[in-house]
Amino acid sequence: MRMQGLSLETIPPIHIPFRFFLSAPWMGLLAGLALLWSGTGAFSSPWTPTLLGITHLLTLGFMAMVMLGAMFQLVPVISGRLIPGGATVATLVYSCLLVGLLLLSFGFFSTNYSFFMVAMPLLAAAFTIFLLALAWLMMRGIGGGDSIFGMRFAAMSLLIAVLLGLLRAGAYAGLAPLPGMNDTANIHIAWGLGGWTLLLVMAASYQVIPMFHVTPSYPVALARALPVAVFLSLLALTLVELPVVQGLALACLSASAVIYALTTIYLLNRRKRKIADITARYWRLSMTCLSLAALLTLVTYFKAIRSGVDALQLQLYIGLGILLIYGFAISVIQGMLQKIVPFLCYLHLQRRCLANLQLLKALPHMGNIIPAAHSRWQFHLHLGALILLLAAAVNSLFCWPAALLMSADFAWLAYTLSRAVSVYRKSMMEIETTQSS
Amino acid sequence: MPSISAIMQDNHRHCDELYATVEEAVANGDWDGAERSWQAFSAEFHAHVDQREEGQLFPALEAANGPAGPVAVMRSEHEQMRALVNQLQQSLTVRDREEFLGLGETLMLLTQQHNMKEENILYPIMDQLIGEQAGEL
Ligand code: HEM
Repeated sequence: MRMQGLSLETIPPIHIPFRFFLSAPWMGLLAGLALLWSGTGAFSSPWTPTLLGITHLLTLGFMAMVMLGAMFQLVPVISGRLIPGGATVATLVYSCLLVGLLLLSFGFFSTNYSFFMVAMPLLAAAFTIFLLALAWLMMRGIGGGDSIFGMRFAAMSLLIAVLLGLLRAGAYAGLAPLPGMNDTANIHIAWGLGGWTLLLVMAASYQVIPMFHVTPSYPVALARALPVAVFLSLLALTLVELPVVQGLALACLSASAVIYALTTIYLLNRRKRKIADITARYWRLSMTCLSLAALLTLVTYFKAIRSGVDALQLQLYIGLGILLIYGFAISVIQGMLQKIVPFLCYLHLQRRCLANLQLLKALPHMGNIIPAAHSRWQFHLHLGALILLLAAAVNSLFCWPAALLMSADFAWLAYTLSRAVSVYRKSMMEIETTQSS
Repeated sequence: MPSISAIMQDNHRHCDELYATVEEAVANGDWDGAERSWQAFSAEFHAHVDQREEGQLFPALEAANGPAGPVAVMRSEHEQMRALVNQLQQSLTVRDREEFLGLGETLMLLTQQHNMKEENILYPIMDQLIGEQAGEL
């Protein structure tokens, strides 16, 4: 172990993760409103420009936004080293991502793809800067065990997903001929959802499930084997066109996802902290959706081989996207935010009290920052929106109510998080007045 | 002989489990049960933090020229955890369920990230520099 440069106080300033966390719900709300505005049209095929715009408001605007913010926070805490560049790097990544993703989505909504000419360099800059800073850190032989091990694969998958996305966006913008929906698009989706998202959730869960819920640890061999299996399956899917290999790779990917999901549910069922906990419910929901999605992936793949792509097939694709994005990824992210945001508020308030420990007693605890009742509402809104979205994939009558509930889901999240920050600010001001008087 | 890391990690898990019992009793409104389990938790918490760490391992690490910065950070985090444990004790006395559960969640997360630093960074350093102390834990 190298002790040089090692610090146990590697907590980045609160504004670094919070700018990401606080912007994310608004992107989700925009996605909900876009669905409301487009009515039943968005779900008529998986490839409507409107649906592509909504998809990226969710995958880049909500998911990547929170995931990058969380990595700025967590990687230093797990590894004991700060991400280089500090606030400058965070600000650059955040601004480029925000403007880039808004322009990308707006390009899709307006079908005016010249917006992509600005969106592409911005998104490329956001992810390049982020990944370079992360690579600099990870090359330094840091500790951190299974989590950091898995995060390396997640970061590589993000790089591949982004490159393929940029390639396709370039084609839309007229930089290259735009062949129909082809393998590049499918591979982009596979690396984005099956690679980056799944691998990062896995890596995070190795750390937080045993910690927050007091469960046994994931078996070490499994914790290492799963990310490798996922990554190799994706590589095989990308590089080998032989149908046998494709089928096997997809089976291996799905099996890994199911094994991971079931292990997580099993661990949660054996948790020592038995009290009702919304984050644990979010994890169960998320893992259930992941297993269903993994099975559905196999069904759609083999069905397409047997009977070609028909209308039912297209509906299945949309259902699959909803299960993975809204059911698996967004559920777990919402669940984590319910704990991470109040905890970080408390942690930073507490550090301001070190000179005067008497003040600690007056601090708001986590239950004051995000009340348990607010979290329960969040979960029910989210579950309701998910069920209606799945219904809308089957019958477009449900599009409207689904869009309404989806907007409510994100509006509520935006409200609870802003409220948390105002409790934080108020308390910080009280500390400062007491200390200066 | 088990290492410092192994012993202290087990000790962390044990504390978590003891706390989980208190929390469950409070959530179910079983205040008498909660009082009883609280005694067990509180005793183990103080034995771990006050005696094993601040009483034995930290001074030994400092005497062996271990890194001073991290130890100071751990001491200050202990201070914050003790403050929360006192607040929890009070809310237990006045039987305030919401207050107890909110404070408890806070202590839990604070403790977990503190433990993570000790387990990933500080205990491995102890194993290297003052491994023989394991015998006295
Ligand atoms: C720089 C970043 C990105 C760019 C420029 C980008 C671009 C694109 C483009 C142009 C398409 C349309 C594919 C086609 O018609 O050929 C697409 C589809 C898709 N992308 Fe991305 N993407 C990016 C990042 C991501 C990420 C990180 C994820 C997932 C976490 C993701 C998930 C998806 C999904 C699920 C679809 C299919 C959407 C649908 O069928 O409606 N993308 N992307």
